Amino acid sequence: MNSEKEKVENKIDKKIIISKAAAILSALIVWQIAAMILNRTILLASPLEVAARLSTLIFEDGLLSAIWFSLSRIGKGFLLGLTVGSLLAIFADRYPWAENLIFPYMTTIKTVPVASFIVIALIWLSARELSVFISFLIVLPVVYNNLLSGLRSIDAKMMEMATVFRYTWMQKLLYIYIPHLKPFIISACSVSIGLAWKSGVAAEIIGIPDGSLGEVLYEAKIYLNTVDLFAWTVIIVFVSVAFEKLFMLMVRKLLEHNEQRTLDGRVNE
Amino acid sequence: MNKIVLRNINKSFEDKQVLKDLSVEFSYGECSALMGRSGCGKSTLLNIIMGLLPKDSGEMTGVPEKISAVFQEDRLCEEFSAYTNIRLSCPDERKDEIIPTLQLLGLGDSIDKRVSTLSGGMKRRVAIIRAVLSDWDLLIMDEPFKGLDENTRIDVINFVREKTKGKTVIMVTHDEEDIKDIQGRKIDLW
Repeated sequence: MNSEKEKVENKIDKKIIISKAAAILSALIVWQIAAMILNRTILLASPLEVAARLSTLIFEDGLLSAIWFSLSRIGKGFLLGLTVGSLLAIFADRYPWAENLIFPYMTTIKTVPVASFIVIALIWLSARELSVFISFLIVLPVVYNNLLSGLRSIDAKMMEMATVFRYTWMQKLLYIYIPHLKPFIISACSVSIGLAWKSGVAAEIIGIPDGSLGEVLYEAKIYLNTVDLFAWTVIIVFVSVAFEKLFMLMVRKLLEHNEQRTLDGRVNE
Repeated sequence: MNKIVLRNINKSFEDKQVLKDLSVEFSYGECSALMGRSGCGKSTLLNIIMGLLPKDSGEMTGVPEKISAVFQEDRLCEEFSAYTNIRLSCPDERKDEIIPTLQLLGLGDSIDKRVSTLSGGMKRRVAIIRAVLSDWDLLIMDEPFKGLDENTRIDVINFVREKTKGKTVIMVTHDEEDIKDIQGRKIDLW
């Protein structure tokens, strides 16, 4: 019965993969045709030209250092946003006055254009650290709002049960809070990683710190090198998606480990 | 002091008065079974005794600190196993009783299964085992045997009666049969 179900699921998975691959291929064909019709690389580089450039770019000296420069800073900003956003959500959930106090900051961050923040932050910070701050700022309200919604929706009856059975705060965290907050944590991380990369690279393009991915994009634009612009963009997308997949895998494994550890029956031991 | 005494307890929710000058006593070491029509405040009274709801006025004495409960809903940690749910509130010296008790009440195959995958009746039994095996001086049960099939109900009642003999239990029920089977003292709360 189970193997039958697995077979059907595998068949569906294969169908989804094939249809997605076909969609990507058709998009690439449309892009290639558009580039051929325009016939001006400066306006639109073709996917074949971008692929050719990528094949040489991956062997260039500055690639890994540029990736590391941006990855380390955007990653730092994201983790900082995740930590501070989580702490503020816990604080706002615990004390309603704190939510009122935090509200204007979160609204400002959400409504003011990222470019304005980048320009203002350039006055206070060095260009090298700008992407840390901007990524942090963009991640903060996403994490805060998601976690606060999660905390607010915790079943009060489960908390009463925990009170009657005298659960320790660690038991409440592991057995009530984390399982309930799991979808909120996953959603917050998944959405905010993409935003952190978009805003972080935008900050680098405006701040132009030496050796960053933003700097190479800016240079490609200045020299009207459209093929380079597209090739570096592909690299940024690849690194951003790889970072997201890796981080989400870690988060999921960590959350599953919590459930598995206790499903074994090894509690308090 | 050998009893839990509640005197002139009043409790209202907005405009609706649920408990009006209620006075009742529960002797230590016996099972008291509260009966009454729906909405007469039985669950509210239990919540006040457990300290989950504040009373508007009145006096309450003799409530022990260590309380255990079978709530009207199961209130189990759904993502975790039956064993884990019981172990969470079970003291170390009683942990060896968990698996034999689960087996006794027909849950031998469900020890490590996630509670979310169990049926309603199975969850109910897990909730009852959790409450009985935890560390308590007062056990409160709100319609504990509701939803159990007849055979299981008899097994569960026998188990609860054995394990709570000589201890203080307050139970809410709509079924006179429950009171008879568990050998409790009936208190009408109209």
